[in-house]
Amino acid sequence: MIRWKYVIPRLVILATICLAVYLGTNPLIRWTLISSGQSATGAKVDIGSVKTSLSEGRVEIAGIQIADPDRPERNLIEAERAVFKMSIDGLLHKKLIVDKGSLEGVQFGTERTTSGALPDSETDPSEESIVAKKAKELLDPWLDDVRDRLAETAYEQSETAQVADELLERWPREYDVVRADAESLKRRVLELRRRIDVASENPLRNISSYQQSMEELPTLSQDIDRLYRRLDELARQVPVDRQAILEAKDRDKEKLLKIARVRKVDGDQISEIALGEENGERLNQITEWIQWARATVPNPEKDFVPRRMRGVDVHFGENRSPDLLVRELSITGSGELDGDPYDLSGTISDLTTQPRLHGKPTVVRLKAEGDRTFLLTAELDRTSKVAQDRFRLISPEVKHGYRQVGNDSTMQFAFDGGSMTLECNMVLVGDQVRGEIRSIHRNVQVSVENVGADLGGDGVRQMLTSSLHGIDTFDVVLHLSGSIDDPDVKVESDLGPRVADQFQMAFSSELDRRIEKSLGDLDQIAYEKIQSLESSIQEQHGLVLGDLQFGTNELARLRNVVADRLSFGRIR
Amino acid sequence: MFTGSFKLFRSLVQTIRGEDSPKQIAMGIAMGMLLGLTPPDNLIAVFFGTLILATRVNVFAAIVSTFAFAWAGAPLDPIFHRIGALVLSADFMEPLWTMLYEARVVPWTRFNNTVVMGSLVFGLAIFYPVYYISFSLISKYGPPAHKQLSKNRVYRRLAGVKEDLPEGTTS
Repeated sequence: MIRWKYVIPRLVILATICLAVYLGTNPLIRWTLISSGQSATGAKVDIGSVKTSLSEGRVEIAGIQIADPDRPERNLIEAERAVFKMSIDGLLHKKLIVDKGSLEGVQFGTERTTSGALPDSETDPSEESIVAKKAKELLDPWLDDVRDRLAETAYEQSETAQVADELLERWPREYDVVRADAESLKRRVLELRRRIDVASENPLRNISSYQQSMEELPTLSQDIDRLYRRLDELARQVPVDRQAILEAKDRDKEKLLKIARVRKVDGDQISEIALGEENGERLNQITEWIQWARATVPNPEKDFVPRRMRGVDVHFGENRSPDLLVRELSITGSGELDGDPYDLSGTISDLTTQPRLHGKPTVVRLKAEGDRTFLLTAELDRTSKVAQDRFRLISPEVKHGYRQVGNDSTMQFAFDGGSMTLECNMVLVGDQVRGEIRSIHRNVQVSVENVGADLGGDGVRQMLTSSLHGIDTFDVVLHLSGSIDDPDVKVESDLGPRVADQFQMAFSSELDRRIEKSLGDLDQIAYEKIQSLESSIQEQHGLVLGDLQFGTNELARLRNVVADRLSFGRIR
Repeated sequence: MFTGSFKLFRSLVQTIRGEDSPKQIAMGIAMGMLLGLTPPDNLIAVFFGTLILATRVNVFAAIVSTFAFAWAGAPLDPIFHRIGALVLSADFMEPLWTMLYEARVVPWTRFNNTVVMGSLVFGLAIFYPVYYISFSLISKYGPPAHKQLSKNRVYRRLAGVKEDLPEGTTS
């Protein structure tokens, strides 16, 4: 006989507990996924809903959004649905083994409606590409050298101009002094004439005045002679100074002819400046993805360690398996790269929190098809103490539009049209990277868009562009080594060496042209300065001479007048 | 329907309050002790909980005992860890542990955790002393306490105690 009074209340309690577990499982799993996801990525994780079916061993997650920690307004990855089919046998052994899973509707870099930044999280501003920085360091010294040589040809700072300008400044001062003396003399002569004229009104009474004037006459005459001698000295100085200008001109010409030729430029340096910026950005993108992938794949040393665990779990047996393992996860989705859409498909296999127990690396295979195509294979090996990863990316026939690289104050290159095949192979052991990114460019129009005025401007630009004429295919290899966070990058390309000689010739031609022009300009300057000097001297000389001649003539006349007056007075 | 619901509620209360002979109360306390000392995230705790509900022990006493021993047992984790480590690392037990570890469902008991094993061993070791002490105390002090509490109307309602009780009866 069943004691219902005993059984029913207990059944009700049991049913309540079962209902609580049933209703609470999905929210608990959702909360766990969000908190562990945010802890792993450092950015917001949003999950729409979670549905579990323990009998089928199936978990379905909808509406997954993981924000980009560097750009909180965008998602790093978004997926419409994730379905995981778990092994029941694994669950019975308290292991989460996903035999097959799928991630559907995956998209990268989608916009968010809310910020994905976690409180107290900071984002780092993006930095200039490693390669572009290095390119500047390499080629800047050569361009500076060219710039300095071209600047040396400028005649404005020539010795000729300096000497001539000094003389043009000095001569007027000299003549100002002489002119002042001449004018002073002229005034004295006029004053004497006035006194003599006044005395002439009553000669007998003003005899003493005549005597005084007579005494003054020799002094004035001496002063006039002195000034005449000074004028002679100045006149003798003129050819000397003329010669000084001519000698300065000769020295300037010698200097111009001695300006060293433009140094030979290393073709690789040209490759770096022409191709460094664009390839540097590509390298930045690839290294960012690699760093993200390495940060996301569990690190046995750091990740998934429970924060507070009571006691220690002791493990028995030799055939241990990981607590969490995704054997195969298929991915489908879409994306956009540089404005080109693509459909994405692929798989991730052997993804686990305990790779050393599992003994196999995590392998990612992704394929994109559409306006952008690429094949990515990544092997992330955490089975040993040192992480070892391999990445291989192939992107055939990427079409290019117009793009400009470089600096408009020095040199700017333009690439128009064509297509590119990209192949990237990288091996990382620990944080050390070794590998190369190779790209082959076809049917590209390469030209020099801008050359700074101090490097020759448009003339050099045309010469450089014509040296690039006929080059429509070239390859670029970026060799990487060192730390993945700050790798050493060497750019190699056949583009630079093919045009290095022409580049050097173009700048050398510009240098020669400027030297030639400066030589001609120097002759012109010397001639003009000398003409200006001589005409100025002639003018001043004439004025002073005029005053002196007036003085001489007037003195002679006054001497006669005074002598006459004095002798007349004696006779009387 | 209302009467039926109230009867069900009263049965639930009665179930929670449970059987109330000193033996059953003491057993409830001892089993609650076992449940309270064990960390809650494993099948062993579920087993003890089910045992409490399935047997004729005082469930209310078991619940109170669970909370009390859970609170008192938390600082004893280092001792449980040492006991558990000792038991789990015993060489002669290794074949058994290995067999259990590789079996199905058993890993959910977390028996291989040092605190779980240590608290289980400790709890089993003090099970009878706790039962005996509880039984002695309840036998001595239980009836007078019940008599005092029966003066309260709410207690009488919940407990289903009749208004006039002869001395010495407990319900």
